[in-house]
Amino acid sequence: MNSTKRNVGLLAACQALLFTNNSTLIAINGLAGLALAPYVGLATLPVTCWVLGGAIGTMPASLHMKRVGRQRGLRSGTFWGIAGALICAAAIWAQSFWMLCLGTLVWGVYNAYGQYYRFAAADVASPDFRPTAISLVLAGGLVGGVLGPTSSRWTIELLAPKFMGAYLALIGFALLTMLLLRFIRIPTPSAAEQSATGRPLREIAAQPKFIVAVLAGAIGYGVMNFLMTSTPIAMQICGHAYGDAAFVISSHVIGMFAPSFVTGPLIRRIGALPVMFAGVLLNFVAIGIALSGIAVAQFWWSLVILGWAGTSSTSAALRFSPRPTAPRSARGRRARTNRPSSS
Amino acid sequence: MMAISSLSSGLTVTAGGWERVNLLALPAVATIGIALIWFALRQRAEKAAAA
Repeated sequence: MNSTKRNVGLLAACQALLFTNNSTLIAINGLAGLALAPYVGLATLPVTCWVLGGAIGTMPASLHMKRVGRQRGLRSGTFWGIAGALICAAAIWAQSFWMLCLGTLVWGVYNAYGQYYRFAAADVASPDFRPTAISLVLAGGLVGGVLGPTSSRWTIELLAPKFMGAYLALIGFALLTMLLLRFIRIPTPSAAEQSATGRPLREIAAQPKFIVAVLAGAIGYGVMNFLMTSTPIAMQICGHAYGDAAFVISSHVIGMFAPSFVTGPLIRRIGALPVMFAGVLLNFVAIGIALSGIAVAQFWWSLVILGWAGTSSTSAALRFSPRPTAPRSARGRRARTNRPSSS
Repeated sequence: MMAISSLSSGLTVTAGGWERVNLLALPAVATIGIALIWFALRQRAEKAAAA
């Protein structure tokens, strides 16, 4: 096996482990929040903190990796995951809601670093192999969608209090990621690539096409997140077992990633706008199924279709948006074309 | 958007249930649909004007 394929394989494994953790967090954070929150309406605040941690961490993670290199940066990113999981486990042990929020906020920073695995794949691959490399790394998310919720079914009550074992198990996945990252060799971008700039953001943002793309991408992903985050709580309220909720979340994550293999070619063939329309229609179908009843099957179909809808609308929106024209952005462009929404 | 949707989903599902969560998502999806229709019509008008 040549070094490129080995590196891409290792990055795909890192992506799988990242989404093992992410899908576990989607499944358990809301329920742990519900168990600890001083007011039930705050049940999803730990999920919100996780999202905020990711948002806060994205830019510093990028600057950090620019300074120390992609590989070292990604490896140090896993420390945030280990620290976050430890704080979450301590919060469950101490039954502290606010500590749980802190833990998920810290964990979010790890997620911010993890979003760069796909770009690392672009760095290690030759121009011809780049789209395939990015797709292969993103396919790791599929594996994570199965591994995470499945393993959490075993670990959620492994230790008392409930949820502590599931949070501690996340440390194992982060440690394994750190180990795998040791064996990846990522070339440093050339000075020309690092200094390349695109069109000014103000110029891009003034275009109606950009506004529509941002609106569709942001609202589309927001809707998916709105429904996905509340699903485990809704299923518990409806009397379903955690195993059923974990299965639904697992299928949703698979639903998010599986179409990424076809959305890219589909967008190239029929255009981004029709794919975005299809995403809107799928959203209506998913909501219609959810409104038709509260059986496990209805939750399952609704969330799977919601995953397809989220991927279709956000990846098409990203492809639809006007581009900066600098050479370095081409890598991001390819990554974005195939990108499913990253939870 | 993500932070708002995460936080409001907990508030909505615990206060109003799963049905209300889905009903609240409908106008947001409709907004995307309207924006896309507006853009498609605008694009068509531009093409017609150019031809």
